[in-house]
Amino acid sequence: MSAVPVVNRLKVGGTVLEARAARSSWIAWPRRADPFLVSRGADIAITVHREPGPRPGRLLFESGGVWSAYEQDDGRLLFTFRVGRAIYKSALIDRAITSGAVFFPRPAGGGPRSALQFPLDEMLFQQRWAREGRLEVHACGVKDGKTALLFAGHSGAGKSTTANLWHRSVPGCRVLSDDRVLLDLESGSGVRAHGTPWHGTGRFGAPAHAPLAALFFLEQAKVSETVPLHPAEAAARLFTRTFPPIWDRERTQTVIDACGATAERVPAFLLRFRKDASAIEAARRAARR
Amino acid sequence: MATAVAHPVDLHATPRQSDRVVSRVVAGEHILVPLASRGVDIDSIFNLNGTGTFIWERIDGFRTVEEIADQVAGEFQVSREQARADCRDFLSQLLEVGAIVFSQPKGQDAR
Repeated sequence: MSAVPVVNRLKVGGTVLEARAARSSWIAWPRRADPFLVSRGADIAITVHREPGPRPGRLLFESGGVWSAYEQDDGRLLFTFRVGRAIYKSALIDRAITSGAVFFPRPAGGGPRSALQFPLDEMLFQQRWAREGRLEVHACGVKDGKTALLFAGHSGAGKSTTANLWHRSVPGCRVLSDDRVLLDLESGSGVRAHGTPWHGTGRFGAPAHAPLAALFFLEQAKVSETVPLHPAEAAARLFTRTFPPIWDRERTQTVIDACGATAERVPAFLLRFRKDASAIEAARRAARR
Repeated sequence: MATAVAHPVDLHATPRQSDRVVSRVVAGEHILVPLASRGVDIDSIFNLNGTGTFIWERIDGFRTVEEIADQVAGEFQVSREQARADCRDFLSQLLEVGAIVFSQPKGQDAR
């Protein structure tokens, strides 16, 4: 291993993930992340090793997809990523999500060259933000003038469609992301929306932020209209579009508290939308109320 | 003749809130989130209405289902039978997702 490691830093919503490795290809981020790369900071510091990771400890959570979470004997968290039964990557990190190691053994038959490919980089941010009461939301976000609007929805709900609509129809509008938006409770009574590099099919992602003016939950329809939601309904809908460490009582409480506070601060609506400019007008009308 | 099926919630049992659930009051209404250890289990989140919130706040490990139902009947002016049926159905939903656990029904030995 080289004595002089290469360093890459990704900054999202003010949080910097610093990655160190012997070779730059091990910690390369996709081109989409370029606007988010910075030269300073290390809120989360990881080193990447081309060797097998530790044996998993106590199982905390099994995603049903590629990853699982474990608690090791020393209290640290281990995230494993599998293809079939074989672990191809693992990340060992402290509970505060400040530093750790990624183990990324060289695959026999090729495979990804970078250890930071989805979903590892995003997961590290998610774990850190969940501790801080910040919400990564499965949503499209747009900056319309001085404020932001959030359009939340599960896959296929119309997030990228919405992003494209705003991008094409509203001069000066900036799409924060068409798939993942970070929400922050500000001191006082506001909520701030941040763009992220994790995008949907529209490939939108910008390192910008703005105060959140309204929350919308997407539902495709023949006529565009908004229906106000009770804050409790909005908080529950928001929670199901976040990524909490649902095995951890304290962290899950932090996330549901942040969802509740967000819904109490920002008006929320069901947005039934047609795929044209009428959806933009309906959202703007509701946000102005 | 149909055979009566025992309801999973005994009127004399004492429910308490599970430590596998977190809750938050938002604008006067409770939201309940059961914790999960598998991805397939992340689909349960409860928005409680006024009656649900009233019941949830009385699940304290001391009151029996019957006592809670009687309080529901008094508060919401429904018959005791209706309150008991509604209470048991609601509690069985909470039981199913692990939001509550039951102590042994009063008067029964723990064997």
